[in-house]
Amino acid sequence: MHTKEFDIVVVGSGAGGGAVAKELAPLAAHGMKIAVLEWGPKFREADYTGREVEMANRLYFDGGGFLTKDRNMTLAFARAYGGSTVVYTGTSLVIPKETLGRWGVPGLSWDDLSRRSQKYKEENNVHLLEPDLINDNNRLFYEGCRQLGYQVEQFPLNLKGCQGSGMCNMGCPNAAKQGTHRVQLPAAEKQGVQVITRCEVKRIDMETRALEAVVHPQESVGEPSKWAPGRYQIKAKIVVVAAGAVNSPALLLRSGLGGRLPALGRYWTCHPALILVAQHDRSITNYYGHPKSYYCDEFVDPDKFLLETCMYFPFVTAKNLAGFGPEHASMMKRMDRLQMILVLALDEALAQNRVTIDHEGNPVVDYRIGDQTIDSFVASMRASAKIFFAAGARRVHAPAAKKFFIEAEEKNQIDALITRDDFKLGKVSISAAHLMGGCRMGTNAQDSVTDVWGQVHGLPWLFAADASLFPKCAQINPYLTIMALADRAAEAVRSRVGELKTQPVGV
Amino acid sequence: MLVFSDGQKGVLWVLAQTIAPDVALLTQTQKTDFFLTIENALSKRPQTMQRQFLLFLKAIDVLSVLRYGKSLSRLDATGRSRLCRWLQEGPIGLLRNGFWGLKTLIFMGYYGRTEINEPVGYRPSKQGNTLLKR
Repeated sequence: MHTKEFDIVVVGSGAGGGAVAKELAPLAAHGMKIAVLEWGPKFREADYTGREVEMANRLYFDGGGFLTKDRNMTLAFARAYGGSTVVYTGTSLVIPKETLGRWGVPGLSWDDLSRRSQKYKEENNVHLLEPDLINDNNRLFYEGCRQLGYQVEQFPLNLKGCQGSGMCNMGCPNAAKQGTHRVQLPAAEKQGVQVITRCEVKRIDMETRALEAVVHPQESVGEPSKWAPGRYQIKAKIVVVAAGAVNSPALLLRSGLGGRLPALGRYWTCHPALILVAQHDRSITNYYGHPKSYYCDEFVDPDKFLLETCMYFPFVTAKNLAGFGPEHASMMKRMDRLQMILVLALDEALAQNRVTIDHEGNPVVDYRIGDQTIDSFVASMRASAKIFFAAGARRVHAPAAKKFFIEAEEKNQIDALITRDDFKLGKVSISAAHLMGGCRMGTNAQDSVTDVWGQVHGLPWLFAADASLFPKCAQINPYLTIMALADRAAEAVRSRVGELKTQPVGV
Repeated sequence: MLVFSDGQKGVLWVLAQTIAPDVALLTQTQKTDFFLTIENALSKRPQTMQRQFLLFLKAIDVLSVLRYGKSLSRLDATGRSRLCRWLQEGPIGLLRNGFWGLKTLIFMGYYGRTEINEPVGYRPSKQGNTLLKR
């Protein structure tokens, strides 16, 4: 057992952990010992091969197919230097004022979050993609929406030197996406923050504030960890948990906080998603260029879903089509003709949807796809089918349709062909990548886990600083909000610096 | 590491031809890789899940006998397709989940290969914008 001592330890290096690391880095420059412990490796440029299954296994927990307890949905979340910012598309939206109002957390103001989000937009080079870099897949979505009178907006993106590989979800092979692996973590390291990769944190001792961790051996890809493989005890004065909405609650549950904090793990949301596919009768540019330029928020109220452009790879596309056999194969034979839309259902935060742990301490996500989400999905398939046809698609595949293909000649029968009765859990591929909640912020320990600054109730040395803080779903792509909340947590930690100077480690 | 028995491979191959008909075009080497991909993916899952998957393969054979009076290997293409459709859309959620998992693994084995890119019209490039502007 190796022993290490730090003033501040951050667990996780994604949008939350990376932001905290950079914000605390000036303290490291002034002599404080700060470490970021990241489960995944730091990948080299050559490791981003663009090979779908290989990259999924390298980057994601369970290859991107982490199953919920009832196996009706898969979750995609990454482990790497940079966390899930390595695999997101870089869409950078400030949380809407209405959403923050719905969150209803006293002391959390939109002005404050907006200001902090703006800082990260500047830091991450967020801008709108130039019109000549928008491919047909995106352009057709825009045109389809406009033709139907639906509101459609362009995504601001955090890119620098994007070459349009379209491989964002497999890790950018051109180092263009400005995730924490490109911006915040290198900046933090320059000022003396240590980032330790391949380091899995098992638990935190609530008495001694020591973290138990394992550094995993070097694998065939990625840089070696700065620490030798083996078991570690890491003493700290302040701990910031930023391991994501699955692993942060699981870590705190393994550390024995479940009894003290009844809301721990609960009120978990994830924007359950569908990938919808249509086929044109000609080749379109779809997998060249950035995959995500537009979104449509026409249906947020009352139908509770968002539509976004997206483009996936052969295997992910194949598994998202409901069905099999010759029809499925005929759809798959022309990837160059496919147009895709991503549906995000805006799910309710319910106490019964939660992260728990199994007898070995592994996270279990106990989440039920509710009636409201199914209604949202059915409505979203109808809306998407209309957009596809308005954009000139030859045929549309809707997972809850009465048949595999809806042809253009049937476009006036969409509502009759896509019905709630034909939506069957287990048949339809549902996935989620916007994982939120589990350590929700609030005002008391009965129905929340942290205060409005991310400090765990009753434990002034322990913070959460990631998407687990969300009290309800974000209703938008969440990374910028994660960074803004992490920024607040970092500010709260900085305010404790005076106490740190006089405090022995691990007491 | 999970390794399928010949019998398990046989059942899986029959199902694969129903689910992704083009697997029939795979060479012997590609077929070996197909099974290896699925074995690798399953090996990363908990042992309980591996056992459940193997049990599900057996259950499909039993269900085939119960529903159609013939084992899976003796069903014709139409019968197999009908059985798979029942598994996918039938009333039992557990079977629908199992079939989804089976389908996903078969698609991973077939569409997860880089050699499939060209035949399905997927020609990725790290410099996609260059091709976009042509």
